[in-house]
This record gives sequence, structure tokens and C-alpha cells, in this order.
Amino acid sequence: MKAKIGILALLCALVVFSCQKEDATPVGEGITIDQTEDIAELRQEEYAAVICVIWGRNMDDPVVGARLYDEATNRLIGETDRNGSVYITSQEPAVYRVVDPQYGRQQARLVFPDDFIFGKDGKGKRIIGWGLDGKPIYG
Amino acid sequence: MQINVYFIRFARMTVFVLPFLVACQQPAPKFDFDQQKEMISASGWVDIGAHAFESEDLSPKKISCASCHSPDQHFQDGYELAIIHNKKLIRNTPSLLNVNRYDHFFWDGRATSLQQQLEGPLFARAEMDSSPEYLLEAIGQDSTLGHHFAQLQLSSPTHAADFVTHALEEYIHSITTKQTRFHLHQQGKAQLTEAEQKGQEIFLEKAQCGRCHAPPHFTDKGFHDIGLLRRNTIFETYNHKGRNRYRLGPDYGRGNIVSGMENLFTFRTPSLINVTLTAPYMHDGRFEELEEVIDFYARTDSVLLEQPLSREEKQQLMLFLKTLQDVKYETPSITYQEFPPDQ
Repeated sequence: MKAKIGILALLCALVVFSCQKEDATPVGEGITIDQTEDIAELRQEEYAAVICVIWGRNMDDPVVGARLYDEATNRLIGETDRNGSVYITSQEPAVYRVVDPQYGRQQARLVFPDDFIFGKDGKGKRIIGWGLDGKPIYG
Repeated sequence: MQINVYFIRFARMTVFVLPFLVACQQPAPKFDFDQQKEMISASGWVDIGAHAFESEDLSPKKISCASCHSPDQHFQDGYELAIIHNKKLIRNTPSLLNVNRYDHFFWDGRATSLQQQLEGPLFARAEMDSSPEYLLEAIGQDSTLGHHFAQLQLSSPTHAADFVTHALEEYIHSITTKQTRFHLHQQGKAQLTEAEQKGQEIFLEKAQCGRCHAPPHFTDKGFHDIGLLRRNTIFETYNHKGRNRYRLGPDYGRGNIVSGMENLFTFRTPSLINVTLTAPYMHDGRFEELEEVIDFYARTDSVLLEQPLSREEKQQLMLFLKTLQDVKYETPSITYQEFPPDQ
């Protein structure tokens, strides 16, 4: 009896979860969060640096959809994911501009590699504390 | 035997409950307002939109659309830069008159539909700072909005946002204007003076204003960098000895929306209909008078104007621009009796 109920409950749970609509909030042109995670995982191996943009006093409010441009060509390189991160794959020296998705609220100018701190793995990192009330984190 | 009975009962119950559980997981479907014409007429939507436009209760900051786009000031605020609770924003508040004739909205064209545009200031932190959840609550407390919302049997926060933006959209569609003396002249219903006609010639030929401000809407709906001196207006983070520091950086305009060097510092060409009423001018409101704008274009080092304009030609151009004002906004002209010369 218990086994039957258990199997039935398991089937119910399976049906309910399989019917759930996938979270497909767009964070870039035609890219969903799930895809972005895949890309992020992929880039773990190949990225040269990561920029992390976080808004707010407590640094717990990542900025989703902030755009990263190559300043020299004004080419859109990417947008921050739900962790507020955007990955740079090129090793070439460059000036980058990060733009808030909301109405000209903030922007940042970063020089690669000068403004990045590099770990033992040779990968750079820069965390931007967005907003005048944000306590900056360096790393 | 009894175990099997329980099992069958449980299975039956599951069959009934499962669809409900599945339905709960789905987001609320988008409501089609156009299908509800019997319930709320087009003019009814305009009235609801006008009410929503003026309502300060739709924003936790207690500001309304009309706070910046005042109907008494031709749907703008008259300030150099928009101001929300004593805090300046980075761009000039554009007039909403005829705004539905554009293909892209905002100075940088980041919205491609009127509904998308309306959601911008409604939900922006720096502006009305509302949310679908807040709108749902506010609608419930507003007798006019609440009545129509209930009439349509709407209930979710998504519906609340769609309801408000749809009503505002209908209202904004209603505040168009094209009864200008220029357009009436085109239809043979009004005459332009000789000076105004000369101004039109200068506008279209000598000064080539019509290249970007093309009739009949007097905008090409495009984006241009007209060579304005760059102003630093946006908070910009930069690195100073490993620390984030702040300064003011330039407004890249459309360049912050679309890739390509050609988009840097470009802004949408505003329509010139009612231009005499919507001072100050430019995306950052730097020119208080229309004469300043003409002087800017007619300056000696201008790349936009091949031949300089005389003082008289500037005056004629100004007179022509006044013909682009909607006749309903025309005020009776006052003539003063000239004093006799001193004896």
C-alpha cells in the first residue's frame, strides 16, 4: 500500500514539475537565464576577466542587463547575467564601458588589464559597487 | 482489498487536483483589451487613461505622469532637466504631444513601442518607482480604476500593469495635434504671410532643416549627433588606486543602446510641431529660447549649414516655425499703439 501511494505521489510530483513553465526571463538578445548559465559555465574555462556589477548598500542586489561596450568601437560585448556578472574573453588591452539598463543611472569606465585584479589562475576580476550609496568591494 | 479502494480514491482525487495544480503554475495569460470593446468604449479608455495620467497614487513616490508631463504646459515641465522630488534627472522632459507618431521612444529610442515607453518611467527607480504589485494595490484603492478593473474581471499584478499602460496608451493617442496653420495652408484652408513663406523656403532649401525635420511630422524619426558641446551629466564609476570613485561622465545617448561608433552621442530628432511651446530645447534642455537654437545651427563653424543666415532670414525662419503651432494653442495677439515720436 505504502509503496503504491509512494509511487503515485512520485508520479504526481513528476507531472507537476514537468508542467512548470521554464523561467525564461530574457537577459540579452535571445538569451534566457538558463542559457546564460550554460554560457557562464562554458566561459569559466576561457574568460580572461569578469566584471561584476552590484547595486545597493548591502551589495546584495546584482544589476541584471547592464551592458558592456568596447569603448574603442562602441561594440556591445555582453550583458550582466542574474549574478550581475559579465565575462570578457579577449586578452587584449582595452577600455570598457559598463552601462546601467535603467535610464542613464550609472555608467563605469574600466581599463583592461590595469583596473583588474588577477588571481593565481591568471583571470582578472573587477567588482563595481554601483551607486553613490553602494559600499565598494575591491577584488 | 480495502487498500485498493483507498488507492483508487487517491488516484481519482489526483486526477481532479492535478489540473488545478498545473494551472496554478502557469503565469496569468496576457489580457486582450481590444476584445472588450462592449464593456469599455474607446472614449472610455481615454477617460480612464486621463485619470491614471493624473493619479499620484500609482507611484509610491506620489508623483504622476502629469507631474512632469503637465497638460497645462503642453505635456512637458518647462525645466531644463526633469526633476523628481528635487532631484534632477539627466535629460529634458519631452512633450507628449504627438508622441505616438514616433517609431522609437525616449531621447535614445530605447523603447520600440508606446507601451514599452510607458512602462519605463512607471517602473524606473529614479522616476515613479512603481511595480505591477503596487499598481494592483493602488487600483484596488481607486474607485474609478478599481471599478473598470473589476468590470473586466482582472485580478493579477500583470493585469494591473497591462490595464494601466493600456489606458495611458489610449489617452496618449488622444493628445495628438495637427491643426497648425502650416498644415491648414497645405490643405488650402489658411494663408501664410509673405514672410512666413520665405521662412518656409529657408527651412526647406537654404538652411536644409527639412533634411532631418521633414514635413509633415517635421521629424525623420532618426538619431543624430548635431555637434552639441558634450556635457558630463551621468554618474560614472572609475578606478582610482584600486578603489571605485565617482565623477560625472558624458551622456552617450543612443550609443548606450545600440552598437557602433555612428550611434555615439546621437539623440532622436524631435518633431517641430508646437516647437514654439516646448522650450527649453535639446535632449538636455540647454537652450531656453528658440532663437538660441537657430543661432546654434546658423553659427559660423556649423557643419550643418552651408551658407550663413542673415538676421532677417532668421526672423523669417522663426515666423515659419510659429506656423507649426496648433491653432488651439494660439493666443489673441495684442497690438500696442505706438507712442508718437518726441517733439
